[in-house]
Amino acid sequence: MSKADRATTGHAASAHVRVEEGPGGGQSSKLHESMRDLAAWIVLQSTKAGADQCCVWLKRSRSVETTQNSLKEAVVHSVCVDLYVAGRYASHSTSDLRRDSLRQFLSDAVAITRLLDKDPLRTLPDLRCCSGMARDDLRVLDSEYQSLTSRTRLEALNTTEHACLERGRRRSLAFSGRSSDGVTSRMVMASSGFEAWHESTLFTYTSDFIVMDDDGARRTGSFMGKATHRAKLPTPARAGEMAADAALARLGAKRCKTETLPVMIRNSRAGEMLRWLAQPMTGINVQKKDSWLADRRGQRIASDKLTIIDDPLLRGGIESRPFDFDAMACRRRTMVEDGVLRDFYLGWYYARKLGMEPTTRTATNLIVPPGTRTPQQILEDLGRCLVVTDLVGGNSNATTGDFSVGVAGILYEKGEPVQAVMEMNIAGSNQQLWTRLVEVANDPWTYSSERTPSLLFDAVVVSGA
Amino acid sequence: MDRMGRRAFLARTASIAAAVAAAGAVEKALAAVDAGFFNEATTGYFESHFGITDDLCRRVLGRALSRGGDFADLFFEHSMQTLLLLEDGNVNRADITVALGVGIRTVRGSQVGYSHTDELTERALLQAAQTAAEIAAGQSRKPAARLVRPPVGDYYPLGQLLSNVPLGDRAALIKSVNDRCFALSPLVRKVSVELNDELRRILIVTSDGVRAEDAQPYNCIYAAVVAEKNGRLERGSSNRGGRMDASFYSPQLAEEMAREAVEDTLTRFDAVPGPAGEMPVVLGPGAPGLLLHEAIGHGLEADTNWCGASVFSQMVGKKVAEPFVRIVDDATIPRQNGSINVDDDGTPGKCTVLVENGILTGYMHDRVSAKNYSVESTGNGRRESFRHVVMPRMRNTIMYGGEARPEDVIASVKRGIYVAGVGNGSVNTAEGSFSFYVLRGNLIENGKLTALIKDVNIIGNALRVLRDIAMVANDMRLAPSAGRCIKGDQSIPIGVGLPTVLVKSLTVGGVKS
Repeated sequence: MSKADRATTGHAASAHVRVEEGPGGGQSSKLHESMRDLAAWIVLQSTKAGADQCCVWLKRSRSVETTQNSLKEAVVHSVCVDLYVAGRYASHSTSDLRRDSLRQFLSDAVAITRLLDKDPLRTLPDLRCCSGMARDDLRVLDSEYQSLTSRTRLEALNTTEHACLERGRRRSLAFSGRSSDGVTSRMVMASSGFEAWHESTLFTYTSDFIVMDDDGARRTGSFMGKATHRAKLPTPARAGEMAADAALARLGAKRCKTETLPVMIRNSRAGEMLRWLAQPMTGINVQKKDSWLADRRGQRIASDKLTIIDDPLLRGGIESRPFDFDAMACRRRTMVEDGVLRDFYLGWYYARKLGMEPTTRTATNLIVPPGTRTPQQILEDLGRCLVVTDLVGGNSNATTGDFSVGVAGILYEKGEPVQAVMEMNIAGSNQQLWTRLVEVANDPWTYSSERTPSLLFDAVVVSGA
Repeated sequence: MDRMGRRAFLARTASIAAAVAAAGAVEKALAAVDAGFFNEATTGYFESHFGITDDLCRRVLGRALSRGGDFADLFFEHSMQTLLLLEDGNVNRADITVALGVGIRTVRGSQVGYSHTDELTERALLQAAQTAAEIAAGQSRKPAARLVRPPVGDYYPLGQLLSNVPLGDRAALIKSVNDRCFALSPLVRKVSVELNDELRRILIVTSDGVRAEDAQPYNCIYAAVVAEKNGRLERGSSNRGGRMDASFYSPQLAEEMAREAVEDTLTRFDAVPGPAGEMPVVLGPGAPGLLLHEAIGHGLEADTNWCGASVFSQMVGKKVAEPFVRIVDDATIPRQNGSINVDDDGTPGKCTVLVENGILTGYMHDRVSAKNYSVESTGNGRRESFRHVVMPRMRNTIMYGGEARPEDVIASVKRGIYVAGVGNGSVNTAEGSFSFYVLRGNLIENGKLTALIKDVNIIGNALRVLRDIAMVANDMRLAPSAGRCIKGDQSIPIGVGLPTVLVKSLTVGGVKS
């Protein structure tokens, strides 16, 4: 980028720049520089075309997806430009990065933006919201990424399959596995002078296993995990054993009678329920009155067992990042504290619409602090209890808080598994459900962005036969 | 015009056609110049605009087969999506996305190598082909010497594209939906409206000599209403769309959308808690066809059967339902969501019978699964974009009507529920467990529809639900909404159709025992 370009775009001199070295060290720095040059050029062209403000998001990702039957490898580039033109706003994306095409694309994008209605609240965030970006190493880059080969990826899947078949023995019917790994580089630059850079790796590993029940029915089990570092995932053999154990635990599954029971949601699925709370906590839902939590900030919405921390700065977190989707600096926040709703997810625009202070637009790494007892210890103190191992479809209504969702799992009596169940349903209202949270176990799930332990709820309607 | 210049020009005209449309005279001038992205021609687009000649394709396919393999194919795509959003009375946001690229696949047996690139230069194409070829390890093969264009249907003529309607007119349409919603009830507090318009141009070239092209419009309008009554909030919505032309988006549609969204919202205030437990369920016509999609459709996609991951894996030729049940998956219904002139493998769209006289007749295939089963592809190969690998997917899944009258179906139930509107669905194809979410329905008491219910999940088993279809009415209706299906990480438009149907028993997930 020439000095002239920099002067024209008015960039502050690297005041908020953060560079994380990629796995390739120098290679990553070169990529950073080239993306920075492109971003600056786009800011310049957008300004020349008539944009009053703009924010450029560049992404480059390289990924490899492997199954036992397929190998998919790709490099993806994309540009997204948020344009603010004469009090109007639009977001434009393209995958064509050639400068000639981009120049015209930006000129047209500005013209389109002019045709929209004015909205004075649509602006770039104040720089004060962008300052203070974390400079700690978030540890989201795995240098092992570059050492993977097609052969090692396939060997891992074969090992997983072998472990499944060993565990399933004569009941084994079918296995399918999938692994993907990739590195993503993101560059953000705004006409206000803000710029930042972030790189992360992501590994996902899935194993699905099917076994045959005594009555000929198929029972399934799976493991699905994500991590920023390969070593944080279970070994391939362990991933297979977990899928096989899950499938074997469903042998003899049937529908049981409809009744009201204590229900424990296992750690691997409890994160989905946190999303039932996170959605109505977003600014867009609150502003549109599409939220049962809209008027509840500062009030109790759950039992005192529930605390939810949103931590975008968690070391090694899947959703860890120094800046958010408004290019505001990320911070750790306690969203729910001892059952009291403390904060909303407020991006720059909806915060202004609501007349509130901005926080951040969406949930990142959600953490529920673990309790002290294992799930087994908790179950031993109970009589009859449904342990939910799988949530099937369903929905949680963000406006009213009503929910109804299919479940599969295992019925326990005094800590002993007595019957696998399937094709059943739990229903109620979030307002009631979360006040009936009676215990949080000590087993946080570490293979997703929701680090949630198993959660025990009292008196849930479970419908079945 | 050279390739680079031409492509840049296209990127420009694609945007400008919309951008200047409101300017009237300028629009006419450009319309005369632009014979590109938004015109009516469905063939020759990639050759004339990007220089994708038969010779170039053969060179790239040759590279994809340089290490052997059974066949290879190229999937070119150029798409543009414009999303206009209204909130608080203003159309104050637009999201515009342009995608251009190619996916290259090499197939050896059931093994697939895949790569894609955003660049349409020969160098980039050859590099991607080399990556795809890594799956094979043998003697190189040559692609067919001649490329032949297969005969395909025309189920969504491009005559009056919504994309060519001036942006200002599109904004006025969605504002009229907003205004009508507020006019219909003083309880309405918030209205959001979205108008999505997409045109996707594709070219499929295969090593065995197929060169197929298509231009697929897809558009939809969605209105959401939040109303407040006695301190309670409820939200409802309406949704229309498909592969429509501009004439579909009329003032009458705006009125219909507003009425439906407001009614859907206000009736929720009167809903009673849904029942819990096993009971008869009557599915109303149209959108409740989601049951077919989840319970039966996914289990009949051939890829899940090939690996034994479907309850239907050994069921072809066997009785799965009563003789009056006939289910098809049909790509040929004019302007429906899931209709396709040609699938993403290059196979012409067609109608595939899945269940005839209660007998399971076959699966839905793409090229790879058809080869595994030694049958013809049914034209069900679909993918979200050039960044995704093709797989067997549904198009429009429909149950034919029977002879009963809808009122007789309802009258046959002493205690159960009636399903009118549905949302999320999901299925575990191996176990056959499926669920779908009832947004709106009624209790059935002594053969009559009584109190309204909402927000109830229904769960069942695929084999059992087919067996339990006890009555089929004569009122088959296609769902008017623009539904999408997600499988793996891919989202595509699909359609469903259903007459009023009685299922003897399903588990209803309410709260009232």
